[in-house]
Amino acid sequence: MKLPFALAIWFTASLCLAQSDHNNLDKERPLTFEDAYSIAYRSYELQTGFSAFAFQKRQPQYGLRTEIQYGIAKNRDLSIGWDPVFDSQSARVRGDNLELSYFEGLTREIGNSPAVGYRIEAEMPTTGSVRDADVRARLVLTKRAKTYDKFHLNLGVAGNGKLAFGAILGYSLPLGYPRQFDTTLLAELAVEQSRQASGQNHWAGLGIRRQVDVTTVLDYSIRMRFRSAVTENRNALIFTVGLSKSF
Amino acid sequence: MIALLGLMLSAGLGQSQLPPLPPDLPSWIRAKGMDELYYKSAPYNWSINRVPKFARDMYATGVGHAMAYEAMSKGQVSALDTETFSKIDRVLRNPPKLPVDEMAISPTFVRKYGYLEKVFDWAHTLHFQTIDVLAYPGWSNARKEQELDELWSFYQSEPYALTGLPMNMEYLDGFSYSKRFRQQYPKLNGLFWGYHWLQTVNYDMLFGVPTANQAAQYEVLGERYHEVELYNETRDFMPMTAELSPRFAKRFPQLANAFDNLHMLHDNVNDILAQPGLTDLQREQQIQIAIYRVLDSTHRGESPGSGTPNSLHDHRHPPSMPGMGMMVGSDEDEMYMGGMGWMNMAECGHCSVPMPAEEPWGATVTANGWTMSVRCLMCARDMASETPGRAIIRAATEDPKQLLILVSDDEGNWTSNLATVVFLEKFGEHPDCSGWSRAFTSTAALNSYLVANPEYAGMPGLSLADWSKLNQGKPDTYRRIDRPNPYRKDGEE
Repeated sequence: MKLPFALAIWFTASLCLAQSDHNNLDKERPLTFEDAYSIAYRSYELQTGFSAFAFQKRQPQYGLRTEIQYGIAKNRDLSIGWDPVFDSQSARVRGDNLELSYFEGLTREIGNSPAVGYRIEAEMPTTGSVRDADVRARLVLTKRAKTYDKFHLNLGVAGNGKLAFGAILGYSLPLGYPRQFDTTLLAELAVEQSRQASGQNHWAGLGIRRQVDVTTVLDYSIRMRFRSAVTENRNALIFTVGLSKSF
Repeated sequence: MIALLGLMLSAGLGQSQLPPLPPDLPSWIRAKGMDELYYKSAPYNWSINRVPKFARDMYATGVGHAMAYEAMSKGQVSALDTETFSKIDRVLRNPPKLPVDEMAISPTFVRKYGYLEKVFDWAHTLHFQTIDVLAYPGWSNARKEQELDELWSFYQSEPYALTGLPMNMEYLDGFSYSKRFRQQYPKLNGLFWGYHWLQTVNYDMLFGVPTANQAAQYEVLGERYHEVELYNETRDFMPMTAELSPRFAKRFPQLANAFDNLHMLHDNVNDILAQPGLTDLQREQQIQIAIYRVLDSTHRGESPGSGTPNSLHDHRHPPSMPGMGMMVGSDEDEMYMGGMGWMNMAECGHCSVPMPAEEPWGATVTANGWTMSVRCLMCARDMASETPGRAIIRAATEDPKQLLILVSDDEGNWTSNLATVVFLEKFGEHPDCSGWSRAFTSTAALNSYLVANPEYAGMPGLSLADWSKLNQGKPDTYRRIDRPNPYRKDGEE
């Protein structure tokens, strides 16, 4: 009973704070991929989202990801995030790690060349040794497909000692042009090496980013993990609803 | 054969007349980053939404710009006045509720001319933030004026900033490709100049006006915008800020000049993209040169009022209007204004008597798509009554903090923002009209004025209804400037 109440408080508070642009795609908002552009120089952006993980063979989990980004220079941003997860099976909250992240956009799309950017991030334990930090890097390419739609290729590597690789092919399509200009449809197909077990994780997702006022974007998505190296995570459905607000 | 020869000759001539790239082209033009900038953080941001219809129309102008540029970048020039016009017109009639990311609507344009989009985007941000400051209810007029000066400094801190110096418009519109767009695509050009009319007429609607009285004016201006200005194909030249918002342009000349220079850059780019026979490289270079001409960095160290006539560095301006460069055929304060003919900006638009140098500054009349400065309320009222349609009068009162806003309906019935307004009108010689035709915020204020000016002793205060019924006709001091339209050949009208 306490959890829904806390979520309601969080959601209401987020609505009061929230802002952003539905065309700019950030990781986890609401799908895993991002585009090759940083947030605007001098802008702050608060992003937060609630996720529910539904499994076939275990009790659900609930995540409450929150992140603050800052455009430290042209084409560069820094962010700090926190991603706690409540596991209803063990009745425990997992997530005492802080994510520190740096993104740099190297080039915009020019002619037929894609936009290119990269991200480096570290997940730092707030308790324990910094040597336990998990480091990840991601190369991002964005290229216009036909008219307004775009492909986004995210190539990632993660690890602390043992490396795991992954790739996400993202797609974004503004909906409603030329009559409406407030909604973008997203889709992704991803594959990654599992770091918990031998094998690969595969998932696909669909999402929407919708501008609700000049500074606020609401997002929601559904993802299906149709292949997982960890048996009990297989066929998991992940529902996400979130907000981004710049200020 | 002769036609082919003529075509080759004209194409060859056109290209040989193209100006070369300047040696000091700024390096940022070749930078590959997106370089997206955030606007100045402030409590007034998005106050434009306090005038909802105006905000939506402004958001739609962004869509209009972007759709046109996308079509031109894709080489779809033959459909500009048909399909592209219709597509944009639908958006203008159903404007978006939220601001639109122009780059998302014009991906081909941004891929080709990303550096130009940086200039446009940064200047459009200045447009919007200027409006936001003026529409913000939380600050005094003095604080807003201070903020606009700070906003200008903030704008200039980026290399994409346009110059706030007056530029010679005849020079900027005098290249081999110039005027091509307006001649070949008058309907789409009409939309562009309609947007620029809206983007320049709004500043006097907002400047010094209590925020509670801003939206009422937009009922008049918005109607004019949608019914006439967007579809006006008869303008000889783009709307100028000082033409439509003279009070604002006089107080903030650097902003007014920057907006005019931006709009001229739009015209240059339209002409370049619409010019047949240019290679992609030539288009790119000519756009870079057009940007260079109006950049702040190109004119650093130069000052208003100086420069060689009709050159890149001609920063002369009409003596009475620092917020406008010299126009085609203009001579000192005289310029040709669309819908009005030749006007002298140092004189009252109604009685031709020089505007008073001291306070109060008089009034402005906005009607029929133009805005004119006049010496007194009588001139304002009578000038508005000579003009069909609705009108707006903005006038000084005895209190510098209280502007009188009068809005008329189609029958000439006026409504006032000041419930206790009282008028003085003792018809006399026009050179003194700013003394005997005035508005006061209250009867007490009028009485104080009468005590201080015994020559008007015993004059009754007129209510708005009584004052509205008066009409003193065309003043005998009025002097029509009888010169031909400098934009048309052989006196063609």
